[in-house]
Amino acid sequence: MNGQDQNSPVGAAMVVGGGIGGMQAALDLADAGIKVYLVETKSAIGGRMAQLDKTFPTNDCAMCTMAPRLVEIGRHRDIEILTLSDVERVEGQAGNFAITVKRRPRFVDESKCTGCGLCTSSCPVTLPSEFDFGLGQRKAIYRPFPQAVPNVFAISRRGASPCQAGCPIHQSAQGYVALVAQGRFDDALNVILRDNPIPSICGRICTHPCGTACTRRFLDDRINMPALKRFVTDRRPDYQFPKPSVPERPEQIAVVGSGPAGLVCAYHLRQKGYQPVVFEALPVAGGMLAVGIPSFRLPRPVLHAELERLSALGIQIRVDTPVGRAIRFDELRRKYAAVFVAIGAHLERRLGVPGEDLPGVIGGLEFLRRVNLEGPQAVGRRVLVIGGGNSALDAARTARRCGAEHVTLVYRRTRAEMPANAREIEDAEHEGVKLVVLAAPSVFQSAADGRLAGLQCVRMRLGAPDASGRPAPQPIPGSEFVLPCDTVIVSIGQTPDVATLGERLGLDATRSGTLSADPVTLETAVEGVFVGGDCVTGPDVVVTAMMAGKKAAISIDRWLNGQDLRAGRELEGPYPTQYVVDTAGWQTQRQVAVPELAPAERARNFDEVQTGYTEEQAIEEARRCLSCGICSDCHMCADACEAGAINFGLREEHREVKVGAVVLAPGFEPFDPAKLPRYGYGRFPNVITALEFERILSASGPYSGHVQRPGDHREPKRIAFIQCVGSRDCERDYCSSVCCMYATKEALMAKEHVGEGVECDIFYMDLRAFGKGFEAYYERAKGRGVNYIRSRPTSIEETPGTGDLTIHYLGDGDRKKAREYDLVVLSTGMQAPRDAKRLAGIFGMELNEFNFCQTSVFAPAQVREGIYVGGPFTEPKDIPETVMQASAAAAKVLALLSEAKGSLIAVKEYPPEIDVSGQAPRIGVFVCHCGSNIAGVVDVPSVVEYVRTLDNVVYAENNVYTCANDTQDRIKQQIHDHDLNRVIVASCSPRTHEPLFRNTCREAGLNPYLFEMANIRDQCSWVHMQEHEKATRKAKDLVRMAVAKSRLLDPLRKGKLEIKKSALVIGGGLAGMVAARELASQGVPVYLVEREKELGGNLRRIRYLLNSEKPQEELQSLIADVSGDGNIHLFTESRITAIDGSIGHFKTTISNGHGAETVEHGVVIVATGASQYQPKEYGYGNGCPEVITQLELESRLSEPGQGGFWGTVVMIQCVGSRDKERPYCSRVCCTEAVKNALKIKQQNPNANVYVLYRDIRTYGFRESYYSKAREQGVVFLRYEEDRKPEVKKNDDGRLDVTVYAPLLEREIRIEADLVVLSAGIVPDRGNQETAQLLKIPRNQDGFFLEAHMKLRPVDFATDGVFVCGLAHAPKSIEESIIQAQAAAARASAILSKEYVELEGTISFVMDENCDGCAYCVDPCPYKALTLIEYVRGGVFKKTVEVNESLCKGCGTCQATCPKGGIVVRGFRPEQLAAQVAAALEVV
Amino acid sequence: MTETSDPTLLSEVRKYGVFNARGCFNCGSCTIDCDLATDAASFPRRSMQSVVLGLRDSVHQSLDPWLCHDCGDCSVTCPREAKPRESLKTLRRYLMAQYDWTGLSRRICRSPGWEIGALSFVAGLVLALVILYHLYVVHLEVSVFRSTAMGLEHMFNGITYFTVAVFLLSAFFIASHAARMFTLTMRRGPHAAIPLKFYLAEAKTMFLQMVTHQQILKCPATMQKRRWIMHWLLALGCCMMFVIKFFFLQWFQTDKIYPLYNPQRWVGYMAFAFLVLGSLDILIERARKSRPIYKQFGFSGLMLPVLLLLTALSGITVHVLRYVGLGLGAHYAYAVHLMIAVPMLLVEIPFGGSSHMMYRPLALYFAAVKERAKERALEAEMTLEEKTA
Repeated sequence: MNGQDQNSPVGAAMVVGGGIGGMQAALDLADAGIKVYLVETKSAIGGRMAQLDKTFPTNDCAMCTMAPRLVEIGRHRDIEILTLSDVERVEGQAGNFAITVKRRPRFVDESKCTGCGLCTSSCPVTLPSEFDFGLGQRKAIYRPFPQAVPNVFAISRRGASPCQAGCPIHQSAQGYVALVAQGRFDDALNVILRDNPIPSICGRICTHPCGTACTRRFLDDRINMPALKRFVTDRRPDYQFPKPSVPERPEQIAVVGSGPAGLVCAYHLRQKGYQPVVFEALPVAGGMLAVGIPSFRLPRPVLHAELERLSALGIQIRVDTPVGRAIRFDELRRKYAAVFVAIGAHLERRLGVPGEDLPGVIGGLEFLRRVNLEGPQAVGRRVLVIGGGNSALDAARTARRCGAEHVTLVYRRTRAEMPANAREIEDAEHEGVKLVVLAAPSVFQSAADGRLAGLQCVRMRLGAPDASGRPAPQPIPGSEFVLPCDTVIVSIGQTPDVATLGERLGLDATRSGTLSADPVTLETAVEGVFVGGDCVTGPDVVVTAMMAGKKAAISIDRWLNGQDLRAGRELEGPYPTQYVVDTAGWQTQRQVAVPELAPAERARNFDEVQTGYTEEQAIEEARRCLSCGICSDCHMCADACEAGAINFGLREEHREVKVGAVVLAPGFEPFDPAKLPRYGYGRFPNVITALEFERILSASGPYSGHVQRPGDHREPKRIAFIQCVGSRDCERDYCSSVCCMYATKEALMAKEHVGEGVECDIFYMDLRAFGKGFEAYYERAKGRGVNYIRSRPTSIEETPGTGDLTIHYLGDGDRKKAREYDLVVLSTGMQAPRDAKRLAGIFGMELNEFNFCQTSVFAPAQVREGIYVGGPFTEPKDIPETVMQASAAAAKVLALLSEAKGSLIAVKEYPPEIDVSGQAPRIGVFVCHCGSNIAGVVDVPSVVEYVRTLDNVVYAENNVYTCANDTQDRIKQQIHDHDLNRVIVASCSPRTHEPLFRNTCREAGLNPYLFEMANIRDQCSWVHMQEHEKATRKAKDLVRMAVAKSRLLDPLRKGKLEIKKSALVIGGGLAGMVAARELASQGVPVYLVEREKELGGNLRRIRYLLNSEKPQEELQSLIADVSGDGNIHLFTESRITAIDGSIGHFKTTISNGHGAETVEHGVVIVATGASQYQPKEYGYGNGCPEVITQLELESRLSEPGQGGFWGTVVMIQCVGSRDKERPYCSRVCCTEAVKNALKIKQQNPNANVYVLYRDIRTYGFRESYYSKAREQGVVFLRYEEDRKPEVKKNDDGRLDVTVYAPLLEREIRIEADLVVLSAGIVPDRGNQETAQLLKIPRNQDGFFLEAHMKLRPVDFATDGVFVCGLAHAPKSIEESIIQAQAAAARASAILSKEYVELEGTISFVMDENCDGCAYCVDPCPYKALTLIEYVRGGVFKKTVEVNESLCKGCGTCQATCPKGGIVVRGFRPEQLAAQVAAALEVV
Repeated sequence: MTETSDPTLLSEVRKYGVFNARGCFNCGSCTIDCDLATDAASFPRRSMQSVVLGLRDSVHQSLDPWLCHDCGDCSVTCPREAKPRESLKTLRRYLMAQYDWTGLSRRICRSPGWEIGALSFVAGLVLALVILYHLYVVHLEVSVFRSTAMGLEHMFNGITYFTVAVFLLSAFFIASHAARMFTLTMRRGPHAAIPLKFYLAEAKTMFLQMVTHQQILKCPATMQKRRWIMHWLLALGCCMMFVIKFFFLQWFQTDKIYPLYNPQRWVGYMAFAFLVLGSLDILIERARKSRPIYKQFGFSGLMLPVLLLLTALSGITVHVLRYVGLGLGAHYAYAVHLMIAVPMLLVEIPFGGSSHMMYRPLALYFAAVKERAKERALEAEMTLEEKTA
């Protein structure tokens, strides 16, 4: 990096956290010309607000208010959303950071996924939905909520499941098991066939290492995967392999040996397009499968079917063709491009004891081969089988079936050491095979006739473990005994026949008598010759040989293509998974037994022993799967996705991003109530958290908005809310600020959902309804019957059996009470985000004792230069405060990067617009399948056919996804090719997609307003899923309506207004000055108007704060900044007498005593403040100097030499607040009282301070000062609203304060030297005038009313006008500063642009129809209409004028006008009439 | 009735120990979880609030702090860790000082120095008396004590008078404190003048509690049964010791050697065993901090068990030494025994933290009387209403 780079700031910023705060910051920055990287750790942005049902105090739907903002961010050209991402490292300094971000793979290509959702219905894996806190379910491929942005799916994937990882050929066991569990047997078969060309064989004889790795074995039994596989393949005995999907290749490959290794290799080579030829020396194909395994385990028809399927695929199998005899070696090498040698291990080991050559002694393999090739062999009456492996057991069971009466197995070690499958041993025993263990043959004894008569054995004992890890058997001398017998079958192992073939091919042998090969690539010393299977490993199980075949095929393919044979093959073969699945909490359920023939039925024939699962059994068994890998790797989603967006190859990536500044908005972590076991959360199903209740209430939640309790899905009739769970305790000595209100909201919503009859009790200590409109909301809830109980329950008890819950509490007069509830909701508090410490380390910030980010009062959104912060990360807070602080952080970024603004944003160039005036409509219609979202219900091709018949439609087509990128190019092409001058897309909602298609039209040179949309998904296919025909008819109707309107569409122009790049700030208090300073620091000229002579407003009266910050010094430096800033034009002792104009261009007249001046500016910030209530209560101002207000006390306390004389001070809260006249909370008085009480105690610890309160509302971290005050001996005494304290002067000249203490149920008298009234905050008397001047609304309390309580807390509905500080509502210094900075950020977004682009679809007045009746003027919600009078032809006329910059095109005026005198462009009455007519048309 | 807040009360109470009511925000968790608190006697929250608000009369008139049996559940449940149990403990010490007219309790309960000082002073006094007694009354050589195995009879009369005097003095103080408690809690406030019949009717309450300590069993904390047994054994041991010492001193103050089956011996051994078991259990449990409430225990809580243990151990030492024939050793041990037991009886029990022996059953008794009076008053009111109706 060179020096110049370091000095010029980067015009980009990073926002960490995609919740509502991060979204606000991102939008503010991007709108003001800063490129934004929005980093979100989850798969979609939206944060906690997306999980909420409604918001208080307006009961607006949370998702409805935030969804448009989600869409806006998703579509914003200058916001890049990095989901599933975390910040890893930060380097550099303010203005120039290099940040490394780690992105976890989504496994879905964001650029291809259209969010159609077909994948989820194909996914077989269901898991608890995190978004619904486990109350609902989701699939492994998911989108957390339907409105998610980015609107793309993601796959939860831990990696290969243990079964898949443990399988040598990595068969997706979890995948087919999951599909079987859903009864999707054909899909399961396809998954099996993806990796396994001989599944019906494996389903019978594979040793299933998958099961050995199965997690379920820790719980009860492994999943019976072989039986499931067998079930799936048996169901479709005639299945075929898919034909190779690659081009055919001419190379022939020789495969020597038709055992599992050879067959699998041939299969994979064939799938890659090669022409494999398999040479088999034996007369039958299949190798050991055919000659080594008896038919009662592997029926011949099964084997033959598999071989036939392979042949049908184009694999030649030449039996009876021994290499070296039927075909010469050199010919093999010459004729074939490559050779794979998989000759198996067919030479039998001998015992090496005397008499082994006697007639009647036969090798096990030899025996089995004969039975398999020639049918049952004659055996003696008494047969001994030597050995303990699977082959020995096969031989024993075969001998039994050949007619032997007594079959005895002789083994050297004990049963526990037998290498055979335990199950096989049991089966053999059931069939009558006896075991003799710890015995080894020593001599074969012959009878006089030379025939075998008996076997002399010696007893063994187990010694020390040998090389194989098993105890070595040692003979016990003198323990010989004789077993009489007619036949002995020796089955103690096999070796490959290295000599006959391998050596002659020039292959090396190992010392243990096998062929030598590279373990990874299976290469040999001879180029082009590969070996694998039993001839390399020695005798092993089928699936190991299959792995060798698969590996050989990969190697041969790479070798033929000249690729690296070794790269990226680390995960071939079995490996253990790196993760552990917790089996705690799962119910045990044993494996479903596989039905089999009774021993009596089977011992005499060669029928298959196991008969296999039924459908029900298979499903039951498959449902036991724990879904270890979450995603089962079945790839069903990939098959379902028509956009081809699924990509399992995506890997974690690290990306470096260069930005000038960072805004941190990581949000909060809800408190986990399981940490408080007394509340039973996690143990009692009907004890839930408030966020869970939000999901229950939500119409899109797990119960579709029907309130049920999770335990038994019964509708609750009695609901309790417990406040302060995880707040206001010793460990967390802070208030979470939002719980009182959300509990109130949830109680009200419960009443709305369940009915007024539902009883809602809220257990609380202090009800903290301190926000704007909260007190009235609380009163309303009380009026609706929500019952507030001032008690903190200590525990919850569950009534066994019913699931009902009992709460003990203290009622009035401290009487103990208990009540039973159906549902208990814990109002869980906010904690610092989980990775707070990590973020603090990365960004170098200080955390407070609770791990929240530490900021200062006068720089509330700043961590350090270049690093800013917003939202609950600094303190628990509600949505509007979060949004404001995020905007404030954005303001700081804008100031820091003001030089670089606009340097990195995308600029879009459009082609010149085609003039379509005078042309007849030429309409093009694009009908969307939306995957199968629409096409699954609506017959899309027939809709297209129908549309083509409509007048003016010159082109129509159907698209799988009309919104896909390639379709946009297609639409442009068709516009060009067919000279289209109208475009219609029949698909989904204009809410999300209209801007995209309009943009496409614009890119093709068409006016965007010539586009029309028909919603045939949300309003048709989704709502008529069962009625295909009717839905198709309705789709036709909808498109016909769109066509009707489309014919009448006109090109519209978006008006442009030049923006005056300056701002007016009304009010020179703290908020006004901060807003002015912020804007000025971005280079914006500001006119700051102050009524008083001096700047500073109410802050001038604040002498000290709770912490050590000094407000007066800060104020002085702020005044100095403001007065000294060349960009700020100060007007003191001035008033505004007139404001004209609208966003972008206001004209304001400012007057003072001497004259008036007119200024022009683009935006207005209202910061007119508020005043302290002048109390009339308690004898204040009534010749009683001992009764003062908190502000007066503060000034007395800060006078030098005044400390230390106080005797007893009584503070009375809520003076002029929370009463009939002013039914709102003044928010700051409790904190003020605590602050001043602490000051008194600091000055004189012996002073006595009483605080008489109704609810102590020290929200957030103010709570710890309340605690501190109590610790310092300040007495807090609650009074009730209807029994207010009384203040009287007594005979000693002191003040008698009498107050009723509800807790003690008695009246208490306090002799006070001073009574301090916590007087509330009242709106400024000038508010009414300001409201009229600017046409902005006030609420019923007289404060200014913002555009939206939650999401637009500094905006007015009128564009270009903003509010901050006390003019908005009572608030603290810190909150005023935040809001002022936020206002600056919001204003800056406007002032950063050259023009205001107006909406095209706005109203205009048809002068000929308008007679100036002005019916429309008052209903206009945006105050965009004014009545004007003019003179034409000497006649006085009236008409209405539209302020185009204010009009939003809502249409209210059009609806009120009786004469068609005012209409909205794009929605003209004739256009709408045409649509209606089309709808009513008989087709 | 309006009561005047005295802001000095809290700081005054705090001189008697921990009173962290300042951490409290009146949530009431302590009261909800307390199984002994009832609607009529609601504590700890109300008691604490009364102190914080400086309602001196209410505090003095209240019996509630004595109804608490110190299980400590409230301190466990308190979300503010304000330690209500400790606060009530402190409040009881404060109240003891109010019941004591001598002013000695006020000193002793507030200062460990005073407590130890007073105990040591009385111990010194006893030592002086012993020396003087031997110098001026007994007239025996030290060698005589060494040789005579039955060396105690020489002082029989004197020690009897002394013992009776000590017990009576102690009893006098306790009785006077009880009387004052009665005046404060039963004769003041809105419920004055309860007829004697109510007192008589409820007398069994006090008797029952004194004998059984059943109130402890109502405490919900774990290990409650064990705590009750140990406490009961300790109290029984004390009673047995007091009774046999006061009425049957001659049994012990003799040179006769009794056979093992004689009640003189096994009653004494039993009392000894109970005392040692009970006091050791308290000390061990506290040292092990087996329950959260033992995490913090003050000096005063240890004084009584330690003194009881030492009294018992020194007593048994005298006995053993005498029985093995070490006469001189027995004499010295006896002096030590007196130096421990007499201060305990004269200082610790009437003025120190151990006076709960008297106040707890009395408070239960008074509370029951009040409750009965209230019920009768209510009944009377109702019958009156019925009549008028």
